[in-house]
Order: sequence, then structure tokens, then C-alpha cells
Amino acid sequence: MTEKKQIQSKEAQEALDSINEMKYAGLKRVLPTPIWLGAILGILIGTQIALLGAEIRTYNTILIVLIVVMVIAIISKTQSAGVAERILFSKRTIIISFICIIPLYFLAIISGQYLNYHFGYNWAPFVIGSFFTIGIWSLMIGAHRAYNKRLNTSRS
Amino acid sequence: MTDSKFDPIIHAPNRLQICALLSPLDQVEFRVIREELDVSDSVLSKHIKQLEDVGYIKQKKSKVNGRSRRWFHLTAKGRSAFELHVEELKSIVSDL
Repeated sequence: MTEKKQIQSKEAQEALDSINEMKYAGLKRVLPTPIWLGAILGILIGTQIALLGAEIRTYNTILIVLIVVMVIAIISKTQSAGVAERILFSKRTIIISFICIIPLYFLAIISGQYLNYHFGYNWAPFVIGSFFTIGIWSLMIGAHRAYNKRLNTSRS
Repeated sequence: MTDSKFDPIIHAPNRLQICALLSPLDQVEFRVIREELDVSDSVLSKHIKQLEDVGYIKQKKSKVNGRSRRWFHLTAKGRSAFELHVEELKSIVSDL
């Protein structure tokens, strides 16, 4: 191996080390939404679905306000960190997901009301609401695991 | 380091670090890039402008608490150029 090649290799290795260092530094700056924040958001949405399904509208406004506050808190946390994590899903997948989630939300409420009044299943809205809570919480845990995996890969 | 796959715009240490920092993320604020690179505003602006001029990065402006913030992200062209550059670096190292 010529001296020139050795210098090239050394320079290339240094560049790669620098790249890995910066990637790790960037990922470390990302503050994933805390699981407890995701759990609270899940509980609020699940509770709203359950109460609307049971035709209890007394707390609806309070729940909507709390959900909006939680969403703003999550967004502002990302803003203050100065970095936004890369979403690995395509824009198409995200749009399709939203198109599916919104009707699913209303379907959950209507199903709760239907099961409650036509079949007398008083527990149905609460079970549906619980499924939503567990679903949101699972998504948060999945996002956390994916982030930790990426961070560990970058570190190694 | 004169191979054709090498991108001279990216290979400069500071610009390489900027691309590396942006690569695993969606977007990064100017302040964060400056802190990670440990350079002055003017030096960073110069490197960012060079990357913007070739279409490797783009910026978005947002206002938080009345303060204007600049966010940067790698474009598809920039990401592809960076990945090719990294591949080339790896191939040089593996030839050792």
C-alpha cells in the first residue's frame, strides 16, 4: 500500500468517525415524548370516547381543552429541543393513517352508543375507550423503542 | 481524495458535520447546529449558504414566543449526495 493510500484511508476513517459522532449527537438531542405524556393523552382520548359513547357530555369541553393542551405541550417540547426526529414513514402513509384514524374515532363513539342503547351493554363504550387508550400508549412505547434502537445503533 | 463519487462541497469538515447532523433527523434549528459544531454564527452561515446554493439543504422559518427561528433539513438531493459520499469513505477504509 502506498503512503498516499494510507493517508487517504486515515482521512476517510476520521471523516467516518466524525459523521458517526455527529449523527449520535443529533439523535441524542431528540427528546422523545415521555411515555407518561403519551399515557395521559391516551387516557384523555379514551375517556372522551367512553363518555361520549355513554352519552355523558358534561366533561366533553374540559376533555377537549386538556387534549389540545397536551398536544400543544408535545409540539412545544419538540420546538424547544431544536431538533425534530425524522419520521420514517412516507407522507402517503401518514395521510392514509390520518384518513383512517378520524373515521375510526367517530366509529368508536357511535359503536359505543349503539351497543349501549340497543343491546344495553353499558360497559361497551368504556371497553372501546380503553382500547383507544391502550392503542395510543402502545404507539408511544413503539416510538420510544424505535428511538432507543436508532440511538444504540448510532452509538455502536 | 479525488474520486468522482467524492463531493467536494460535502467533504469540507464543517459541511460534512452539518450533513451528518441533519441526516438522522427531520429538521434541526440553527442554534443546535452551531452548538454541535462549536463555530460562530458567521462561519456556520457561510457553510449553510454553500450547501443551500447547491440544493443540499433547505431552511424553514418559524416563530416561537415572538422569536424567529431557522430550521434546516437535508433535501432528497442532499441526502443522496451525502449517502454516496459516506459509501465512498467506507470503500476507501475497507480497501485498507
